[in-house]
Amino acid sequence: MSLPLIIFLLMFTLTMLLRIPIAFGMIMSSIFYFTFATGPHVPISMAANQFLSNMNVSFILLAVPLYIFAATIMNTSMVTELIFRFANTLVGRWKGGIGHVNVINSLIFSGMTGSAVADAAGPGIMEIEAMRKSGYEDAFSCALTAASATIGPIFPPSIPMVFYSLLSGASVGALFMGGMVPGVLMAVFLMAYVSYISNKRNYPTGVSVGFREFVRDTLYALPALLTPVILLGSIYSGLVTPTEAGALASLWALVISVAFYRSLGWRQLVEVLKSTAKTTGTVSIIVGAAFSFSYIIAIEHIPVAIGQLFLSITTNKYAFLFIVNVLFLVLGMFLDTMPIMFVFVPIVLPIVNQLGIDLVHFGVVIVLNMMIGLLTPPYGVLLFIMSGIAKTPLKPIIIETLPMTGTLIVLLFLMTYVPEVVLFVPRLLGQIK
Amino acid sequence: MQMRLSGRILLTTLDVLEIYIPTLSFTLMFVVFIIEIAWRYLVVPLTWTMEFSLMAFLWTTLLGACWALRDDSHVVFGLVYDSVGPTAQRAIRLAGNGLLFLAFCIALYPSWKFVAFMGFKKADVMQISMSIVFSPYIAFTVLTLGRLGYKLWTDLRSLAPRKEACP
Repeated sequence: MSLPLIIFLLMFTLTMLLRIPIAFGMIMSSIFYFTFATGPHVPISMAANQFLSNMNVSFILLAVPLYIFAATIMNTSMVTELIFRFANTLVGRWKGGIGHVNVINSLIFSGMTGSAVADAAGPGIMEIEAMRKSGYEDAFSCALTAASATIGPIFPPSIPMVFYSLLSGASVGALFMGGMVPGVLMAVFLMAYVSYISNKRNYPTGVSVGFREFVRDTLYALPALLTPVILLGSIYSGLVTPTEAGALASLWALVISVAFYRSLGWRQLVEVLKSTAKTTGTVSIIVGAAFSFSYIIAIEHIPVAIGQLFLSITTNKYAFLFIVNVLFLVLGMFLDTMPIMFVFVPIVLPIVNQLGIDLVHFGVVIVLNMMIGLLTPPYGVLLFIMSGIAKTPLKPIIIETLPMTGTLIVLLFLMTYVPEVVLFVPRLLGQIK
Repeated sequence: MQMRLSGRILLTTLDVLEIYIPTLSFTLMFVVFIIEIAWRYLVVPLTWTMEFSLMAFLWTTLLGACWALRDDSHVVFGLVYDSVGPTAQRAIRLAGNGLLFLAFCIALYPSWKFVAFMGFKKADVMQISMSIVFSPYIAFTVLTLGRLGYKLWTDLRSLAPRKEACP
């Protein structure tokens, strides 16, 4: 191992230990590497070069701020409230009704945005409040809200899948389609758990809504419910690219919030735009920083070395998928999704190709794996958000989350070993062979 | 009074660079996307829109990241930091910000040279110099250095022994 590489790895370790923002730590590690490395391809300016040259051609990344914008509009206007009311009329009368409403609400919301954090921080507040009023324990409410928020990046659209597409070259459209069945299955698995626990703990049955009220709530929520239809319909009809669909969905959300529901004023709109710009800064700067980081990983042949290590353990793709899943679940306990995506996914992608694993299948599996990481302690971002929103200690939330995490891990392995769960829809619609 | 005025000018400049320009960039990017889709189906496909959107995205990202640094909104790994006391936390902040400051100082001039060098090239359709397109990277580096310097100064100043109040 060369001295610059040792310094590079040391600096990235220090990024973790010294609480340096991940993006800035990646840039710092790259700068120190380029400072000590010699040769024509490694000047210090390469950090800026890699950042700017790659960001300036990655058209697919433009989807990220647009999906963030759509989610922020939904969360600021009353759209989330309407969707919640609609979900309540749909499944609220069941045993453990509000728990089911929580999951359905997240599933619908996930068809409009592509972020688990946006789901947890937006509709999450409303979901926890409703569950609290219905007599559910805060810890269970927080745990369920966190678990259901992970559907966000699985059911299309999905910001992590946009990043994965950039790294792997897999089609974003096919990845989005691949997430449809798993997203619905996540909701089904979580609702099955809610049913089980509701019977065990005797959680209340929600209020049954009359047919007239159901029709009224549905019609009133219809413009909001049309958002995922517009988004996915415009992509798969070929009218627009997945990136442009983000702009269309944002425009639709804007139009219905301003003109139809009259719940978004000029001042709020300015705040939404400001918030989108800042969130784009925090998310996309990691992507830019990762370009020089990945460049160093590539010129140091790290993927080759790790590939050889993996292949010396096994050449069986099922065993490889098992090892990768376990490894990424462990990484997810300690790291955020962005460093996992931009540091570790590019390292395993060459082996995925070598073993003939479908890139769309692997992408959806690995994104679900990373979403589970958002629920696992000691570093589970969704747990922290929920604890902050509900002013509830972390420990009981973690305990309540464990069975739900277990349920999602069962689904993860089902998806891993039955690829058709992911590939059925993209194949049906001719996106992959 | 003079100091207050210069302070206000500095804060306004920072707000313009870190808040208003990225917000405007994103707004324009969104509007241009809508124009791109509408023109494609209603008038004629436009060629400049993609270039403009990419540029606006770059500006939003780099300057928006400076804004996020202002109120510590960036993704961090805080397990170690959160588990120690205030004195150790200050030491961690000093070490982390010090390392970052050093790295960004090292990179400032080479980055400047790279951005200036890119002036030989122009954007294919819009014919804007790539130095201008890439210029927010320099603003990002300088603003980050300023912010880190301020954070280092605040932590170092808190290390100095406090003057005892006169009896």
